[in-house]
Amino acid sequence: MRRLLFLVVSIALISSGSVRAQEGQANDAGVSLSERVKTLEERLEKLDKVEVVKQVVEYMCPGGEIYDSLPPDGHCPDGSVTEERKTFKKIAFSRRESLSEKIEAALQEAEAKRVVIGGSARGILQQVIHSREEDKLFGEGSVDFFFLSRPMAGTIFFADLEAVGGAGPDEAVGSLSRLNTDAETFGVGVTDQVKVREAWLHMSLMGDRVKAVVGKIDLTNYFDRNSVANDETAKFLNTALVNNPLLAQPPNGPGLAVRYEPGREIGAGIGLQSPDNSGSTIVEKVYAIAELDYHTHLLFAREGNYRFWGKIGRDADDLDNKTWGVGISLDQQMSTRITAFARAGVGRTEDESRNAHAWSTGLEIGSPFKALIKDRAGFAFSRQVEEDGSESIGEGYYNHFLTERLAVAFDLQWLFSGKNQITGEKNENLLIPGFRTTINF
Amino acid sequence: MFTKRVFLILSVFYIAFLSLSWVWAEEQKTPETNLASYDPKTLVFVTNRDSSDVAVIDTKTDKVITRISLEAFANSHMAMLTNDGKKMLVSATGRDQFLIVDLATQKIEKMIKTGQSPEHFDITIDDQLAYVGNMQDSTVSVVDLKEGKEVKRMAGFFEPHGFSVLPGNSKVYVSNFGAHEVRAIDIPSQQIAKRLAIGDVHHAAIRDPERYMSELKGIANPTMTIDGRFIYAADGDSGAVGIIDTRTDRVIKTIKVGDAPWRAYASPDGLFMLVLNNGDATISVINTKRQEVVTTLKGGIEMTGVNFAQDGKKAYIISRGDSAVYVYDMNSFKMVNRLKIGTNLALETAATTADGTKIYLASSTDDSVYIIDSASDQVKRIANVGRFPWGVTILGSASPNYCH
Repeated sequence: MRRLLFLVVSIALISSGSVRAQEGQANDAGVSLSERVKTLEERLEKLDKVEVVKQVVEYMCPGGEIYDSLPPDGHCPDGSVTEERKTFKKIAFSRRESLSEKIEAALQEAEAKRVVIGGSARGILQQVIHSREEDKLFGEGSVDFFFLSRPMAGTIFFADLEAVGGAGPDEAVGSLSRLNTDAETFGVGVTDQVKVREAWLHMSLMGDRVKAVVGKIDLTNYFDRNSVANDETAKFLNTALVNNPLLAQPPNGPGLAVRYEPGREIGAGIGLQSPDNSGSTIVEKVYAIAELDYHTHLLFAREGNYRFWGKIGRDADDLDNKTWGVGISLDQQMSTRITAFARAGVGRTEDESRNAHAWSTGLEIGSPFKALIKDRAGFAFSRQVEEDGSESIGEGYYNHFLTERLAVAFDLQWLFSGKNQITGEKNENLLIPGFRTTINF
Repeated sequence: MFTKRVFLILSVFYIAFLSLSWVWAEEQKTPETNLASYDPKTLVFVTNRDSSDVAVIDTKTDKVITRISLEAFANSHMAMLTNDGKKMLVSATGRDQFLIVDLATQKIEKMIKTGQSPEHFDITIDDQLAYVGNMQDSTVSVVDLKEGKEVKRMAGFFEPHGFSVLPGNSKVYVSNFGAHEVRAIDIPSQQIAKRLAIGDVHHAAIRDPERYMSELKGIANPTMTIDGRFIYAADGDSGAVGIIDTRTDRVIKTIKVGDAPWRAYASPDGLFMLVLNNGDATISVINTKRQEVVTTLKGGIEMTGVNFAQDGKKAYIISRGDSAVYVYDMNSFKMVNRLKIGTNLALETAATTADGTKIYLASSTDDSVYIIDSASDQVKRIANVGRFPWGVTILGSASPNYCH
């Protein structure tokens, strides 16, 4: 009996010991398993990470100190000006995040490398009414293709091929101001030709504060600009309402334009260009222009742009004759829809006996209808007095966008008085209504 | 009766067999070396990445006297002794740990969790703090060596690769290998005191940004002048060395060196900085007084380190690509010897003994350490120091210790 009791107690003790041991082992196994899972998670996180080099923008002081964002008022602690630097950093991403970044970067890269091709075509009909000659309808058309690529960061290569056909009403009217700028893109009487209008390389330097363009350029893209009267494809057609006549810029040719635009009120630019397209006289008989820009919100608390320029050059008809000129071009927004503009200038050619002067002023009015938000109407008057004669002209237009890429404009020019440069007779109260169609593609 | 006798005899034999096996196994064990009996300045510590241990070489006998185990998967990268010579500090890259090893017992005293993939570090002169660069997650672990714990983990670095603590323990400079900047950490406040831009890669990149997007060569190390007045930081992408004034934390000068400089190495006399330009296999010698390049030497392929010896009169430049060591006279700046160590060897780093007479060079691919006698330039090999020896360090070395 005793032996039996001893046996039962022993088995019970051994059993309870075994159960406790098993519980302990289970607890240890649980802890060990959670540690292993944690270790595996950490290793997985490591494996999931990839490193990618990214371009980042920082702001740097002369002593080398770096800031992620522009310090307050843009100055370093010692008062010096910060320099923006686009630098590179190796940043760890999770693999999935990296993949989407890479796809985005590849798309951006493909986009950047892409050659962009675009163009526009214009057809202009102008009727001369009340001329001494037979009143005629003049047709003119032009088409241009441009190619744009980015050969390097911060650079743009641009080439523009243009074809012009038709001479416009000045074939008969012979106005001083020129009634159709589009017809004389390559110069007076140069028509029915295909030419490279512009081909240049644009570079942005010093954090986009300095922009330089070199190649075959059109200086009027960079000087004597005006938001109201500077575009014959969408606004006024008369050349005197596209640029100041006394700017007397040479036809597009080899040259250089550098502009400094710090993003504040003041900007400046300088341009140099060959007096003709050959480039053979680029050093001896250079056309040079300098401009100072002032951008302000002083009047009407709205944007106003004031540009003062001065130029020296050569007479296009006789390159031995020096010319000079100074002028102003301003546009001032007066309300949400109305913007006023004015130009004035004075200049002289070496062999002329008196100074020439020219001025123009007008308004641009935006559409009051929301459905026609891009439509514009413009009215302007121009007066120019040169040794060859004087001329006064008024012009109005209404440009209506049928679609984003198709616009039609009705244009009316009123030549109050002037001299026909072809016949020498007087032009008086000529009306030149016109119709312009523009397609952009 | 007979069965009992047979059972007894078999048991005696079995016990005897077990006893003999135990004795034989004990004899096979390396006798425990008491490192406390050595002057720590006479010992060379070699971290073996693949065998996860540290080989200790006695410079008197040039024998491996012990291998301190760091336990599995440590993948140790760099070792350093505390200034009192009592503890060995090791970055266990594979386990994301920083180890404090007691040299007397050769046991790991503390395993401290860090950020991911700790590699290089530096410690304050008072052996109080270590700054450890975690390459994988680009953080810096601040480790209290007395407490044996990570007290802060600082984020926002870009592959923190090199560290230099100023002599007064006021600041530590951290170079970012994944960026073109050096950061200064204020030690009392444990805050970033300054971020300093090095080089002008942002100007060069305007012309060709894609070149810099594909591979980034930043700053491997902020090398301090011997007097602690300046930091020389070589930027790989811009081929320039920025000199930081440690009093003002301003980049006072940027010196153009060769192509793709790896890092600068200070000569023990404080007169020169040698910059290894791995892009064009040259060495720029910068005079630290004039702060300009005084000469450019022809170097080797893929140079990984510089060791000065013979009171700084000779410079030994390791070329992993050539499996050779180039020897230069520091007075004439002429190459006086080219020690071809072997063929297809990956020579990693080296350390100079305190008396400047010998250089111990780790060669990872043949698991060896090569000893260069700096007087005769004779080379001797110690084989089987451990698997993939990488970092070498000697307390009180005559040439500043380094890792890569």
